[in-house]
Amino acid sequence: MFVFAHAGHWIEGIIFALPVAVLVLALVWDGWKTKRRRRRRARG
Amino acid sequence: MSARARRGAAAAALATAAPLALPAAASAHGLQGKTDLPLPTWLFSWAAAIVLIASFAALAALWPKPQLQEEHRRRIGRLPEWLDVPAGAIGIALFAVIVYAGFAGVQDEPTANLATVFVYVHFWVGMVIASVLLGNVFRSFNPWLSLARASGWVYARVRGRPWTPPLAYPAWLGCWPAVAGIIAFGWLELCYQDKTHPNIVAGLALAYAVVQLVGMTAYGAETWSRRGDAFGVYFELLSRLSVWEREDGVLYLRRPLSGAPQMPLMPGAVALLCAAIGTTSFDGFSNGSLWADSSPDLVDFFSNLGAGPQTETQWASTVGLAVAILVVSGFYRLGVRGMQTLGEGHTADELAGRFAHTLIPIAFAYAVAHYFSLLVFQGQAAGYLVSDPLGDGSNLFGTAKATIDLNVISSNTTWYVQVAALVTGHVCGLILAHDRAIALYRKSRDAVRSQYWMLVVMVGFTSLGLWLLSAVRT
Repeated sequence: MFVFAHAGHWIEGIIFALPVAVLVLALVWDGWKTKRRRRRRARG
Repeated sequence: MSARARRGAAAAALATAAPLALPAAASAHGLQGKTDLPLPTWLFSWAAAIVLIASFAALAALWPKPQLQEEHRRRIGRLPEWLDVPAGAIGIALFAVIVYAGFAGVQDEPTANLATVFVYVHFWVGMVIASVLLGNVFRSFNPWLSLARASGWVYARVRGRPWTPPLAYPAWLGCWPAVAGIIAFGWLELCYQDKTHPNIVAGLALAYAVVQLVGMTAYGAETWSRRGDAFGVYFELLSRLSVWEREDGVLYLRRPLSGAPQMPLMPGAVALLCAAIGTTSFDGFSNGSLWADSSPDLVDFFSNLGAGPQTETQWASTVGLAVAILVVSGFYRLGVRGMQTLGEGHTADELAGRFAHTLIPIAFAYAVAHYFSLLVFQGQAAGYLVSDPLGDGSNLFGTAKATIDLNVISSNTTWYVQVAALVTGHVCGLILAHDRAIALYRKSRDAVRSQYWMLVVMVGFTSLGLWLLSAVRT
């Protein structure tokens, strides 16, 4: 309820934080790719 | 118009522009006009993120070896230690004037009393900037340290041997007493209802000095001032960003940023910097529209628990301050956990300590961004307060008629300074983190990869800072 009541502020905050979200996604993607590469190498 | 009337007009202008007289007025976020920038504020946040990412890439490509792990400095000349005697005497005299003004001066108009304005503006904000521009000047003017040194000198002359502290300072305590002091001052500044009452400010300053003297007597003046004195420790950390360093009566010029990596690893150092950043963040947040809209819910909650009309707001602000410090600490911890995933056997606690100095430029950037306009506007009060410290109409040096010029900088200039301070501070944080990483990790590739998460932390802190400041503008 509290979140919806102040939705405008949260949306504004999300817009500001978007670069952080993009970076985190890039990191997660990079980590996932690295893991997959390691598994492939391990399989030979 | 009389001097008092002019001051009243200036104070009225401040009070109109901001919800409270001091320090919130000055938290001159309140002095900002409405947003009339050529670009939306969120675009500044995105641009800042791009600058940080580009800096990160440039560091990865062009900074292959550690450059800052050793303090590169050259001797400039002598700055003898006896200079600390007159400097300390000035510090003690100023402290006495502040306390006297707080008790004997006007109580109903905080901006007319030297005690309130000096403590919240000239000392708390001005000393931050002085520490970075000039080095650790607070150490020379520190009134309680000077008093302890003077007492030690007298003791040695009378007894024929130096004072031996009865207790050994416990290593595990680190700078936790200083952390408590910084949080307590933050609470006083941002939460306490009677924060602007000059007699309360003076009483607390006196109480703080007594606590410091007790600590210095028990553990030794030098040890306590470097561990337990909140302001001593805080300003010393910030002075590590300065190119000036004074040691054993010699003045050195050191390579920019090379002072921060020499920060001693002591328990509580990370907490102290997170507390400083969190306190400043909450100052910005509590002046914004989100807090203005949401704090009544929190106030109601405490009201329902039985808190009185004065204390319910105080409790709400206390919760806000605690959450702000926890969020900042959690965010830093997140970056450290990210680094830890890279392996090489470094524990989270070890990494948190080894990268703690990267928070120093961020703490400075937050302080400049949030308090720059406070210093520029309310700092001008020194003009009339020096002649009329008690606010009783005296005119000691003929400047009692000086007023505060509210047009000295525009709202947009303030915003650009804030953005520049935040971006520069975080780029400096990235440089320090990168330099430490390539010294710590065996492979340079791992060093760069370890800093991906620190980049997230830096971009996050920048976005948070700009969001808080932009919320105040609107």
